[in-house]
Amino acid sequence: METVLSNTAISAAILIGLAALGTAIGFALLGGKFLEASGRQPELVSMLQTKFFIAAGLLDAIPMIAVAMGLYFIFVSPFAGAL
Amino acid sequence: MAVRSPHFAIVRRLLLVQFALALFFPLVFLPFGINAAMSALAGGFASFVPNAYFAYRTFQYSGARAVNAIARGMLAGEIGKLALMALIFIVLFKYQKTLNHGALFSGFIVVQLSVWLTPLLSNRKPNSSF
Repeated sequence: METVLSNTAISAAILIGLAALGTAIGFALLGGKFLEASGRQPELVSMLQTKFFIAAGLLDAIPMIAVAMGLYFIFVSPFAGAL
Repeated sequence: MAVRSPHFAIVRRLLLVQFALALFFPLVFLPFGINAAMSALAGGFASFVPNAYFAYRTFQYSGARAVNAIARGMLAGEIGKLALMALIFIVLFKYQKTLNHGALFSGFIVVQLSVWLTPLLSNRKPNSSF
């Protein structure tokens, strides 16, 4: 029982941590490119803003699912319940 | 608050699609009981509400002079989006004991992945931007 609980906690931590890492790298690149491009061509800011929003949605769709699954493992503990 | 970006239409369309999916996708789970349908509805709105908040913060400002405010809004929007989603899921898992988890995650994932439909929502003209 303790092994299952501890392994579940470790797996949830890895799940949420990797999702956070992926989102952080993606947003750093995306935000940097947005600022770079808006500095170069300020007249395109509104279009870049929309593209940023859509790319951000694509970027963090899967990490958000990973975070939700991690929270599910932490708060519901389905593997411990199956024992 | 400044004027909305003229390219906001595609975002409005995307949010409308997400809202419609969050509202109508739970009907698929009605044959499995009202509990499953309500769980799918909760999952759908757990994805839609944070996304709507992110859209609000991202498009709160517009124009070349507000680039710094836009960047700050994007950062705050993303943090708020993740925090809001985590909060909704924690509240659901902690206080809603009769949740159908399969339906909850189905609703959540379907609304979450609807962003991938964006190319279909944009103008079809080859030279048009978003």
